[in-house]
Amino acid sequence: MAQNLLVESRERGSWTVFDVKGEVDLDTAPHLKAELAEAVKGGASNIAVNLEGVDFLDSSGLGVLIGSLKRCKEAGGTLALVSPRRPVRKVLSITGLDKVFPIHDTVQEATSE
Amino acid sequence: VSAGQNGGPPRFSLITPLETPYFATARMFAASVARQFEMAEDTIEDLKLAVSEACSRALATGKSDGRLEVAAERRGDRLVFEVVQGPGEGSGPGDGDVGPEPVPTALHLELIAALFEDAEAVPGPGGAEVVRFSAG
Repeated sequence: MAQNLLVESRERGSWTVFDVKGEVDLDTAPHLKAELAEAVKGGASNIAVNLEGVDFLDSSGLGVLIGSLKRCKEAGGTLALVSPRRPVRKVLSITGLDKVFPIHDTVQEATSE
Repeated sequence: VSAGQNGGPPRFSLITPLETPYFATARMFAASVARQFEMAEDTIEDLKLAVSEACSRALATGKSDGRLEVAAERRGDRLVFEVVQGPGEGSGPGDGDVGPEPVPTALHLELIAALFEDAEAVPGPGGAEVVRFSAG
């Protein structure tokens, strides 16, 4: 069940942008993982995950983002995070992952690299 | 809400199946209780994360058909939360790490402890586990 999570993708230059809305936890993380994995499988290597609409994200979501970053790097690209809200920024900071992911304020900024 | 033991403070609790679709409900419940006690919104955000991690840990270590209890009780100027992995009829413990990209069960508790320094996991009734921490 992923009723609390909406994931939409769009192309922006060489980047695939995922706009995520809702809560990412053990229940909804598989949906996010499936969407990201399918994109990489389909040839996307540079992915921007727009977290502006994410109210909540726990270690299950972090696990998905880390796994996806790894897959993007294996494909020669990267995975950037965009506009995480304060609670999400905090969990990234606590775990030290704010130093692992490129984090940008806007999608435009993330995809102009 | 139940009366506290020996005239103690009331205990607020929510009992659900130990299944992931109820984790959001568990977070909402904990946040609602915290708001009743006029906790700061930043603390409530931390609380939601801690409860979610405790739920994930309970699923990883609990019986497959168990239940989950999220409880809160006022002790002094603190609000003590417990996430109790209730007994199930299942034949054994959970599969350990769970989720789409499995997170080690120890990490759940480490994250909670980073938010609430008195966090602990202690044996509960029937061999289950209780994750306890307090917020003020």
